[in-house]
Amino acid sequence: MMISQLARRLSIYLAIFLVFLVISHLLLKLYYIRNYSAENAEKLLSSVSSYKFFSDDPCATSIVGDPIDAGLQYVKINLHCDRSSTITNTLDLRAVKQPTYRGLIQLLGNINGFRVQISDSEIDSLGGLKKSEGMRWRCFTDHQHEVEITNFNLALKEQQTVDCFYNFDDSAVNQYYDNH
Amino acid sequence: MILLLINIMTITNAIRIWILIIILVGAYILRQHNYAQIPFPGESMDEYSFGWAGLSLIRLGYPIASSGIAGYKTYDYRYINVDQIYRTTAKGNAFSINYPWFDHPPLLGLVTGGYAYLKGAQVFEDTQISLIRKPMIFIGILSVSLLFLYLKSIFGYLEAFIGSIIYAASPLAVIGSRMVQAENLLIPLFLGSLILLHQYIQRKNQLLLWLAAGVAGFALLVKFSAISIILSGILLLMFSSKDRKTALVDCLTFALISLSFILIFLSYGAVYDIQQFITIFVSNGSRFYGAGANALADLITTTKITRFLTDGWFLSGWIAVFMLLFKSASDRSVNFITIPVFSYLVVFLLFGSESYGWYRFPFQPFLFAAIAYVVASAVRNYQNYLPAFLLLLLPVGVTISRLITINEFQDYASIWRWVIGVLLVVYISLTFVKINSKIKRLLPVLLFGLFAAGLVLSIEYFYKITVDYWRGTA
Repeated sequence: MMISQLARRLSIYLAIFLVFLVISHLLLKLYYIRNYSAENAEKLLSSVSSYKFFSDDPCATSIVGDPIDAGLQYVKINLHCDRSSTITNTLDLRAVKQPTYRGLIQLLGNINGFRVQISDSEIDSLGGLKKSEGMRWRCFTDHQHEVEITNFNLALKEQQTVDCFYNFDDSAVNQYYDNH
Repeated sequence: MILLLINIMTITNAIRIWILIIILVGAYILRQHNYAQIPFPGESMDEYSFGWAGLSLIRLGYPIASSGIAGYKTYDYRYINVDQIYRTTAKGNAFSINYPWFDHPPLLGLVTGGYAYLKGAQVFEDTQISLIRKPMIFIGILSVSLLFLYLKSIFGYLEAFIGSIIYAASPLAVIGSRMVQAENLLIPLFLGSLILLHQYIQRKNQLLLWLAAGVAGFALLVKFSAISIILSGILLLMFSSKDRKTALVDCLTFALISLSFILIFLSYGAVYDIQQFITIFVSNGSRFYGAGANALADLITTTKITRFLTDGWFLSGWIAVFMLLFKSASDRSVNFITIPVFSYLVVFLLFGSESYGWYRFPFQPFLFAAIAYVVASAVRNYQNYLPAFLLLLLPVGVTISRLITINEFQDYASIWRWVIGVLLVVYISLTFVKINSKIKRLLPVLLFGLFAAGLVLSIEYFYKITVDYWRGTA
């Protein structure tokens, strides 16, 4: 093949290619503008899978391992569903988008697969463990029986530990803290 | 007479087609076995990351995924408990989500994320491994069939059958091929480009050259290490033409067309944030060189995916490739094996910042092609039996050692000693002694027997790799 003929063919190719490039660039930009919003992105990232199995037992599973990548920016949350069923979870605080007690518990429910109903001042239910006569969730922080959480909208602090007990009376909570 | 000949040819072709179908069906059966369990979901977070990039592009027109590369403006930490990985492999760490995500071009993400989307995935947590690995199984089968076509067009049916059977059954190739890693999509594009290039060299039809370059360029939209395909093409064109001027024109054409595809990736980056795109591009090139100075030794002597998995076919493949280097002066067709291996080796050593198992995947088809060449040349010439015998003995021995313990082996030790010893003496003698044609005809049977034993043992070993076995590997 003559070099001039090849040069002509390559020039045509490049011209067509550049036209394709410009059109595809504009189409992608248009598609992005039409479909992207911060709200849609948030849904994509944080929505729970519709295939997810939600358990009645909030202590059925836990987060295994510690978020080493988080350094000191972590929080711990332990659920005590009864005297013999406890789960411990350590989370990267940077991933708790609503960094309150409520946000932490809701995120834990999304991760471990149990439904959360929580008001400003108390937990209504975690999974199948609901508030009823004489039975309720009580949460404490910093390993102290004196610091019961009564406002779940308060902000979390780094390295904080939250313990939530279901159907534990004062003496049972005290006993737990004495032993741990 | 002519009719009889046509009949025989038709029957022969039908048998060949049936053998190929059996190989591909076998490749499918092996690849889909436990595909969503091994490797464990979350052992390589890249698998999800590719799927997320594709899903976010489809749903938002914007690439969002997880990255380990420095230089992103946004690091958004998220718990995405897909496949319950926080109970198993995630080790408690949140994903670092980055956007716009530019770690790799978007093609593989669009394939896996697109498949997940078509199957109903709407959010990141929906992209289960059972969905995103499914297209990889078919890409793996495509690679086996393309290796068959490649070897058939360059060497012949015998090489094609041997090479594709090994590729279909090697445990490491089977388990590796179902992972969502860019290298697994690079392989069929690598082979496709080389098949077209070989056809061009044979027929001198410019359209084939342009198509070969187009496929090589398209591979750049999978991963930048596809530059090795372009390098292979250029070197093969240089070595295949005696006329320097023609070779130069062909090389320039091939390079220009294939490299033009970089502009697509660049244009894609410019849609979102060109400055971020360039930062990540530069950052990708200056990553921590975790493979270290022993990268080459590690590549040849160890076999791994996410964990170490011993597979003797790979060491055999490397030895066969080195043997082929000495053949390149007398048989130029071996360049179609050695040049792709060494082109990818250049890229592997330049870009291979970590010693991840999947960085090695693109070597696989060419290593198996090299084994196929050595074994087939032994079948055609009995004086080449010794190297072929030793090459096949390697995977047989390695696989036996995986299947039974050293104490269990003692029951077979005397058989092993005597059979191998006698065969070695026979094959060494054959290298120097001329034999009559009747014995000559019998000899390939022994070689095929060893090859068949290697395959059966490999398949048995593959089925031994259960979830518990995988958990026990390092």
